[in-house]
Amino acid sequence: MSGLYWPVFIFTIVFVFIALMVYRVLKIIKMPVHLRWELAPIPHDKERYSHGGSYLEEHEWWRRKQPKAFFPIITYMAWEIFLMKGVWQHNRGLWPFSFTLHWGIYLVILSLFFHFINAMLLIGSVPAAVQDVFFSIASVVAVTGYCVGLFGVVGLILKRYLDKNYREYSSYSTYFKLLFLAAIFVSGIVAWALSNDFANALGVFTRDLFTVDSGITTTAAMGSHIIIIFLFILYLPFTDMVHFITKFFTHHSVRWDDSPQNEKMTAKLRDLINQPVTWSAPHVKSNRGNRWGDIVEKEND
Amino acid sequence: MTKKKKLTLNDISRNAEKRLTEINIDELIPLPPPYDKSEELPGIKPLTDDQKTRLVDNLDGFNALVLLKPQSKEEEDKFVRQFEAGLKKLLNKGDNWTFLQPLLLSLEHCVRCQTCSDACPVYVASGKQEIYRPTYRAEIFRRLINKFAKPGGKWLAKLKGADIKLNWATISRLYELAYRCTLCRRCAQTCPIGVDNGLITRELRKLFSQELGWAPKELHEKGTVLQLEVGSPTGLRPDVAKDNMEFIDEDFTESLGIKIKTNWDKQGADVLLLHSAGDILSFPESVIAFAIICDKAGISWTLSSDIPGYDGVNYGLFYDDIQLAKVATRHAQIAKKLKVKKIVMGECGHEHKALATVADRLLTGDLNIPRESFITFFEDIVFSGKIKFDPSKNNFPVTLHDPCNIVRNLGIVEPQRRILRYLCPQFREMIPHGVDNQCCGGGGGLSVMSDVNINDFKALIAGRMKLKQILEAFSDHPRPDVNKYLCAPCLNCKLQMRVIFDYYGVQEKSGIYIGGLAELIVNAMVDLKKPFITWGEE
Repeated sequence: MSGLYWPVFIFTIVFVFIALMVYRVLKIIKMPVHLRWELAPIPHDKERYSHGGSYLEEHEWWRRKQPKAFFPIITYMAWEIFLMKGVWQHNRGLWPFSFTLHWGIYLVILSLFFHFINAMLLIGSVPAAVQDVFFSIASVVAVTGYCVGLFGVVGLILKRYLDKNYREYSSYSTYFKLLFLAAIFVSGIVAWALSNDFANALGVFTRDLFTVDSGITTTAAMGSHIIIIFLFILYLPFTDMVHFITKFFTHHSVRWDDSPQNEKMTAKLRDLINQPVTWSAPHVKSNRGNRWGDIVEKEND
Repeated sequence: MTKKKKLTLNDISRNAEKRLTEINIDELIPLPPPYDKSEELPGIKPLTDDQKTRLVDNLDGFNALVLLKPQSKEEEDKFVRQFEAGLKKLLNKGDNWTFLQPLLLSLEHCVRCQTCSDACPVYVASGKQEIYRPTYRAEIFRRLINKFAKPGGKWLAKLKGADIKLNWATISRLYELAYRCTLCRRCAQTCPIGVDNGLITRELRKLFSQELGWAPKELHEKGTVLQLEVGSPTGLRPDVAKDNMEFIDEDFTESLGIKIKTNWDKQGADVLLLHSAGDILSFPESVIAFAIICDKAGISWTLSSDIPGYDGVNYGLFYDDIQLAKVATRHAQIAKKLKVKKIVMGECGHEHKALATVADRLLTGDLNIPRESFITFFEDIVFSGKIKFDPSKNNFPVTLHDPCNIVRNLGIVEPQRRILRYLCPQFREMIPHGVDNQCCGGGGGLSVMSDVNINDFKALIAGRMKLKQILEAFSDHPRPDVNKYLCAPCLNCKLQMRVIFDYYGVQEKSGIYIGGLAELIVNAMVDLKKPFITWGEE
């Protein structure tokens, strides 16, 4: 692949990825208000989080506005995202692989950021000494990411295949996903090994990409690596790996959603209660298009 | 002993006549002495010949649901089609607005890391039987939803290698398996992504109930239906409940030497006490203790004799949104009619969860009456100075069981401990406790289910981790010569513990007695001349 095929290929994938992710997020956001289903401990309850308590520990809690702290939520998520705290605490055998796989991904993403910086430095004709520093950083970050990630992904593949606790729950798609990630790391290592100046070449490629240079080109190894990364990005929104976004909703919209009913919610709930129900069991009495609220109320008449 | 064949997910749909697994008591995790000799236990009650002929028995040798064998292939197919229709309704905004978002988030984002497995008391206690792994049931359900309720599902299921057959074997086993989980949500707590296998199990139960009309009779027919009809799943009608309470009032007035009178239907009272009617029958001392505390603190309180205002249970929480909403709405209507300032939820964990939080988004307008836990209500009274206490009256070993629905699900953790630390000099914690507690094994409705041989499951497996914890908490006094108090402030937990204690003979062998929090408070009152806690003596 050479010339304008590159920007078309990459920017199309980025666009499709963003569109799909926005669609997935909107789909979640637009779902109806649900019944409360919180689970302690809830970090935004700053006063009581240390022992897992909630505002319901307060006598006549409704008499006082319950503040929600922001910082403990960030801390909680940071421990989870960067250290895999939950897996460390409850599944120590998996942690070395899960931790390294995630950090491999984080470092590869960080290296993409550095390639972008390098492209800007090249466009801005920044002194070569400065560029060299950033090229070195990009190289170290990328190669560390590939190696660490490869360790993690190989460990996970072996764990899933050899450990009876995982094997039954791992489908073809599970292995496909892991092999895809492995392909990113392996192709990255190959591209790096076959390149005299890995980060420089990627910096130049990124520059040509953003300036839509028709002469954009790269080596076969580097090109394969780039293609694998972007095909993976295209594949990502169709997988459970979108948990990097949806984790926000599983926590904030369900586990930590302890907001008492408010006026805005009441209006939405009234609409929901007025919807027809089609469940078929006799006790539901959904015949003749009965609505949720009617079914509940009639029983109590 | 021959090695068991490893159970696969696809086994669920194979050979509908055969049990999926057999439970061997010797494979369960060991208990401390003197409970470590499996040969001295009653074992697992086998099904009678009649039950074997009539009932579906294709899961694990336990039977909770008394599902009758279908009479024909056509009947089987009809149920399978209904189940498939139910899968689609679970993803329908109109039918399942109540839990659509939490369900989809849990179904679509599990990475099968199995981090939740070791948190499950049933799975661990069973010696890690695959069938009880939290993800076993959830993964089968997830694959069925993906295959039958999503566009292109059948094709994708094959492509992904995640194909599960939907047939009579699958649905009959899933139905019974849905009641091997106590909905304690320990698994959910450990999930790094926020997936909730407890919720998935409840949704599965809901599908069976709301689409096929299948639910355990103790929860539905003799549960919510009976409660809405006569007032209580116990069968207590209002006049009988009042008569019982009158008798209990007189009995305790005589034995304690203080006047006790239950208030009924007092308009404009500050507090509507919403007990479980099961307490009236099984733990009357708890109901009396509430009356004494409220009277001594000068609280204006009342019970309701409206159907079902004297029974705060709401089994809909365990299996059916419609029934949940009907019961919760009725409770709120009764409070509104009495013009009380607030409802105080009694010693019943699932009542707390149903009324305080889950129903919060069902009770709109003036039905959204303030609701408070008895725990914070008591804490305010105990530390208000209105009642004088002598903690030395409670100078015996006490430990606290944390009901999942009060602690893990509502986050009420410390107030009960502040009371116990103040009033019970020998209070000690179980390990783990608070929001990390072990379930009693009777959660999710199991506590009130007793058909065929499910009590054996509850005692041997579901409640095993709890029993182990209790015994360890009292390990400094293992023998029955010292009376020990297990404070379990939840009726369902107490009932489940009775099942465990009876099965193993815990009261006789270890001298542990089960009671609530209110009894400990009353027992420590200076004004009370006679002990309120009588250690099983009349």
